[in-house]
Amino acid sequence: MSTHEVVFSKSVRNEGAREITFAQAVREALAEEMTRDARVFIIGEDVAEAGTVFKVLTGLVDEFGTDRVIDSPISEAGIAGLGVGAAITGMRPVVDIMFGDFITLTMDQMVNQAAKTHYMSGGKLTVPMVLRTTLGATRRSAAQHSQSLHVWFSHVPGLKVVVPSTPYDAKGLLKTAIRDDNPVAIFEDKMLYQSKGPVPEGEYTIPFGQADVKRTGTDITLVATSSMVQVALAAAEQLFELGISAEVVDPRTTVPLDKATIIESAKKTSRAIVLDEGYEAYGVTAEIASVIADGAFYYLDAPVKRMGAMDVPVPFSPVLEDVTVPTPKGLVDLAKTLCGQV
Amino acid sequence: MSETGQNPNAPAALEITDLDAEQWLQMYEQMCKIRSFEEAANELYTSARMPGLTHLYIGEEAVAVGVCEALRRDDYITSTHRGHGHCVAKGAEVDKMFAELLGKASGYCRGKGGSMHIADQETGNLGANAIVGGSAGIATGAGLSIKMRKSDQVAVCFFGDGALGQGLFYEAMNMAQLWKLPVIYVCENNQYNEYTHNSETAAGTLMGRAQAFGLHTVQVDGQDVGAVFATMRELVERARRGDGPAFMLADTYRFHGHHVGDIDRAYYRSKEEEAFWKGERDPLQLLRDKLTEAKITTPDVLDQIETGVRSAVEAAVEYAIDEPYPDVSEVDSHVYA
Amino acid sequence: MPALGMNQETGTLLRWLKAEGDTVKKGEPLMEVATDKTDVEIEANADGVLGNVTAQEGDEVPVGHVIAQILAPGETPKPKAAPAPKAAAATPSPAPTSAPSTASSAGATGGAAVAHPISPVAARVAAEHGVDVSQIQPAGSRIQKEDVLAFVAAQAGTGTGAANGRVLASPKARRLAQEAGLDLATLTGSGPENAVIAADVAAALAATVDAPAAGQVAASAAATAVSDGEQTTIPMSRMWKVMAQRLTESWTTVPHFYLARDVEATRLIAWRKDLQARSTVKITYTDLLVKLTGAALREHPRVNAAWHNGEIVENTHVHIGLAVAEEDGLLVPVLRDADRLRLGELATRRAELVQAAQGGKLPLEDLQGGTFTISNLGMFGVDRFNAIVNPPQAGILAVGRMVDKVVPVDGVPAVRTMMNLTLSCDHRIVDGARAAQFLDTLAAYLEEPLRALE
Repeated sequence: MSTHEVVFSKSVRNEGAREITFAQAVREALAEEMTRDARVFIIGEDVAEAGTVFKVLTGLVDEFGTDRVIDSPISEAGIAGLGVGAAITGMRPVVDIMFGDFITLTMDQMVNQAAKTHYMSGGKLTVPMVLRTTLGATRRSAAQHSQSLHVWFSHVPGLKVVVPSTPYDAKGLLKTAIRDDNPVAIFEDKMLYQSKGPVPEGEYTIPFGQADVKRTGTDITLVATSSMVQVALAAAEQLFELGISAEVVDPRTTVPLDKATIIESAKKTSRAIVLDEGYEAYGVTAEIASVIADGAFYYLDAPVKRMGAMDVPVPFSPVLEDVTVPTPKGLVDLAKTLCGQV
Repeated sequence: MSETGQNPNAPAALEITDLDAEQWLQMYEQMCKIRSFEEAANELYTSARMPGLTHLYIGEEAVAVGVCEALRRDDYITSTHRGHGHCVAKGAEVDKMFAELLGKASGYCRGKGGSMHIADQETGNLGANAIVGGSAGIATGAGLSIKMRKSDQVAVCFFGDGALGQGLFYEAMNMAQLWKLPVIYVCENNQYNEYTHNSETAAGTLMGRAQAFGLHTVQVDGQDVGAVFATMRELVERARRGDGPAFMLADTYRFHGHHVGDIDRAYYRSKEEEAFWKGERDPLQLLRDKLTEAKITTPDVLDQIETGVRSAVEAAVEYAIDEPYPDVSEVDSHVYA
Repeated sequence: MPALGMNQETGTLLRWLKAEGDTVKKGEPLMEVATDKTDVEIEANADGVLGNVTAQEGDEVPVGHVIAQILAPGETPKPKAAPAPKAAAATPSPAPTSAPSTASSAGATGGAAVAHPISPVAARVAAEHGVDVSQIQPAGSRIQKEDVLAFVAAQAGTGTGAANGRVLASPKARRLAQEAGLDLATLTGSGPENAVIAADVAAALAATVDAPAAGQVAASAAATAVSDGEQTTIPMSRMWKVMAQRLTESWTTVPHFYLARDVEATRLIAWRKDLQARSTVKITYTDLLVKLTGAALREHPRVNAAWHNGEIVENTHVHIGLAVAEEDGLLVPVLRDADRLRLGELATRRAELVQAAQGGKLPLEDLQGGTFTISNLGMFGVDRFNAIVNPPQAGILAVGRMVDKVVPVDGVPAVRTMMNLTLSCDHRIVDGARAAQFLDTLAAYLEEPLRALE
């Protein structure tokens, strides 16, 4: 294989910036936006004194009070609906849905109300709301608390969908989401909350629809979202030792999707694997793989491959659960095959 | 079910002299406008000039008018698939409504919403909703927004008895009562969930549902615009004062089928029942009789109002027919703001 | 006829419940109508007298069509409407089938090669296989990918299955092989299922370079010149490779013969001078040659024919290709309907094509479909030369420079401006006599151009 170069992108690098956790980055984004804009508030189950079950919002209620950090009944459909109504009438709500699995309960409000209101009203009404929730398995939480269902929202025109993979991205993207005039769903990886990364102090936002090349390479493109970015970076490091130069592209938002960067990378390397923790069938990986097949066809030297969650309900037993999620080892093996190293 | 039973919160009956003649005539005119609008919509539909599907409000006019006459222009309403009446009563212009019904560019939603989705933020109409019960959250969210903004607006959620089958209502009413939100839930009980009588779909009582959350509840004769207005005026005052949400059950009747094509209805309700409501319980006729008997006005004046409204509606229909369709390039505009 | 449901297009009148002339009241049952879902009773929508009834019981009528009127007392019926159209008649008459093209008419007049519309995918597949799309007879009105694959399969004699004999190769390998002019079938694949991948193409290319650099992988087609001190291997452009391939094919498979003739250019020169004086467009001798050659070809269709799969196929149109030298090879942009273009149009078009060719911006369609070619090297001082036929065309005309010569005129030496024409032909299509007749016509036109315009 050709010469290896490893260049981390700006967002990963951020040399000199202080290191904070993913959870702190989320809290900081919320606090900054609530300070900046009095219309911003948070509503959800156990968001106030409890600071959410993941302790992401700890302390926020002390700063902004229970009028703006509102503990709700366990009524996902209801709070999503309240979010839509408040957004239409001048507020900028952040609706907290504890587990991504529970977005099923918000479906009518998100899909038929939030996503459609601007269009059905001929552009008169806008719904500037954010739905914050989680994704990801391997917390031994079994089938109803482990799914990554972001593709459900990605399928619906009118919604934007954000899948941050680093503390830096989490903060910048959440701030953009709050300022966006459309309904935005942001899925945070539960397993990443305690991971640390450089986050500069002070104001910054990250535009939607702009992929981030987390590592540059020349032999194979690994397109990875959210939790899978770390898997891809770990695999890239191992592949490097094997003489394979992998490029890791993180779309950061599945809607809008930065097709150009993904296609450009696949053209450059001629090979691509797409990773996402959602179910593989009809999933994010399927969509992105088709984007690559369509846009880079004449540059591909191997079939585009996908790795997603195994198409089974997430099992409880650790030995079972661990095989349902893509791992660096599985990714390395697949990449080697595509690059002709069997 | 037209419920009978405890109705302790009913306001004292509205005396005819409680309102001046102008107010009564304004309500009559609004009801006529809805009736005339719906007849024209029916005509447009059956003459195959209107695409899609439409659900007529004829028979229920007193509810929309009685409610909206008690509201300010900046108060919010959310509406239903049977929403033309709410829209007119809240002050929308019928020409832009017809244009929307026909999918024209000058319609309220640039032809993207149609009969079941008219929204008009100018008059506080947050939109009609074609998901039964779908707007319970939105109206309640508007109430939350009002409270957070420390405004004295109120939000009214119109829905039918069928929507009480949806769980969202109970989540929303619970939160509205918990947080004393200025939301008034107006249940238009026309007795039928599409083609099924609500005695087959609702256990317990309709009022009991709201009472369970401790909401202020009141039942009203939905064919008596004066009664609806008087009740609503009180509920609005309560809400503006910060006394929280209320639930109003308005007993009414859908003179037409579930939608315009629902002509053959004998399998779910009798012609005799329909004849009774149309003959004895027509809200327009009831108001006419009341005003003429009390000598508030004369039949001539009422006829004149009716004629004026009809010609305005006819002109609006002609306007809408002549208006251009949206350019096809608009198809993907307004997906995102 | 009322619309009673979504997407309902017609209703069937089952029964009138009132007769024409009856008084009806609003809300009274008027008729029974059947839709595709149900039978319903329709109520009168006004008070009055039923009149102007045009639909009979059993009629299926489009919704929205007036089938009767309810007349107010004293109102006179409007002129009797036309009888209710039957539903079948209400559907629009079938639209003419797509593009009543030259296809059918030309096809009928004798097997001329006809340009069918072609889908972009099919065009790409055809280009990949080096197939002349004008030879493909599509199953429908438009050439689809399947048509191309079927044609390729038939050509290869591998039966009808398009997948039969198809070389497995990655998309990138296919593209690189095509750009390098390499036949995928000659390569050994090292990818999954022995598919040819990009590395295999690169290796094959490196092997063909007779230089020490062969050991290195020449992945890029744009390699630089390699020298060992004795010889220098010049990298070829893609265009050059294509030229090399095509002309080799022609030289080795087409039986050439040549006819030469000197013609006097005096009148041609005068004609051009005269034309130029009246034209704002620059008119060249090449333009006049194209124009006159077009006229001559029109009279000698055999020289405008093509060799397709062992058959002689006369072309309906006269599309003349002009050989244009370019740094990286030879291009032959095509002047369509050269015989029908006015000289001004022709000169303008020629200038556009030559400019585009030299700028490397010539669209593919301007390089396809030529029926005859002219190569003019007069401007390079060449007196005469023999050109190689551009298959599947029948002939190519090589034009030398104009030069003053002493020639006998009426037995007396005189100086005249002369030029040489050498016609190369594919003997499978044209014999010597036919070619000579064409050349004679062309010579006569050049010596007296106005005859061509008669």
